[in-house]
Amino acid sequence: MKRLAAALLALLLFCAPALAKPKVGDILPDLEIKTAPLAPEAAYLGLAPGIKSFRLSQIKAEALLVEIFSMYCPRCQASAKSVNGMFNNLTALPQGQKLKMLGIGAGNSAYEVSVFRKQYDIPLPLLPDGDYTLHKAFGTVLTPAYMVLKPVPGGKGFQVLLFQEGIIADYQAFLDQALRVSGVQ
Amino acid sequence: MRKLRAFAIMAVLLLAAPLALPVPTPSALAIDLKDMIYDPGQLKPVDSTLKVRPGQMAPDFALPSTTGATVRLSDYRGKKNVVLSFVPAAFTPVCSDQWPGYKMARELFEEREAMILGISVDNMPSLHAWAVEMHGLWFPVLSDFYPHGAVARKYGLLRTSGTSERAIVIIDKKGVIRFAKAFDINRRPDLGVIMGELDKLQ
Repeated sequence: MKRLAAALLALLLFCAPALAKPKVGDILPDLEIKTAPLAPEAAYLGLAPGIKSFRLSQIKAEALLVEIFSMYCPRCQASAKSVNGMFNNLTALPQGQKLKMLGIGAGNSAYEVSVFRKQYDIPLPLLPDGDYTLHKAFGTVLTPAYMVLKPVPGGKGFQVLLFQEGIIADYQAFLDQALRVSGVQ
Repeated sequence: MRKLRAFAIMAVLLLAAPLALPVPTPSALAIDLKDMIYDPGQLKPVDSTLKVRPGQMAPDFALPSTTGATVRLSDYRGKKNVVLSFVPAAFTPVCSDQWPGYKMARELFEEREAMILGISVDNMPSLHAWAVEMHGLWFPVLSDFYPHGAVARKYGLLRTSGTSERAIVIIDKKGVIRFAKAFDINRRPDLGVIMGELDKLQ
């Protein structure tokens, strides 16, 4: 009976981080993205050309600014141009080489991601998450959601430095905050 | 005289009250669609048996649209390919994303000479409110409410709960069904699959 209770407790503890929305200080797993980025995306992320899948920790950056989006989400559609602006402003800065942005398409196939990219002429890397693996691991957030993540030394995942769910009122202010909390110089 | 003064003071106070009380601003009154969503949780993926198959003529129907018009499937014969998009219910999580996605992908459907007919068993007032919340859609939204789910039943897409499946039926310009599938109700059908099937009609 004690063993069963311990097993249940362990299961609950194991499941809890995946169910709860991320908050600052949480550690998120270093998951594998099982899709080949486009050539310019791989180059921006510092990944080997022609790479077929990769872990977030393989991205050459001191911190990541991740957008969880969906092609289907009206709020993601409405904010696409603002997110483009945020990416363009970030990459124009020297810190843009250290804080890198990418989008993860929750429940989106590669085709759906490509439609979203084309529709809004999106310059940042967009990666499909067709089976919601990353979306679930990142707390089943509402889309769009934005988080700044910093790798934990030793490949032990990513620490959440900033989390924002929903449309952001001022994307430039959010970028400034992302740069500040990530500590990139 | 005292009564008159008291009356005047009361009248001024009553008139001034709306100015003193906090009046909700339009933005405070606005409710985001995501806050209006009812989440039924995970459901049995498919709960009906298709009664139509590729190669047969699509059963005709006429349903009222949120615009007030009646839309008849056979009106599109010889003019457009038709994508019947059955969705289970208004104001539920997956459905509330699916059609806004098709709204964004309008050009892809039009390039393939396809018109979507969105169908739900919801009644007209609910569908109207839902379509408004989605800021309008470019395709007709049809109510299969009464007789309840008659078109969904005709196609074998009415679930035992009374909602329809999340299904896609693709009909060519001759009125022949070329693709019919009830997808997992808990997930959106991949737009790539729909476009791939439409490409086969070209």
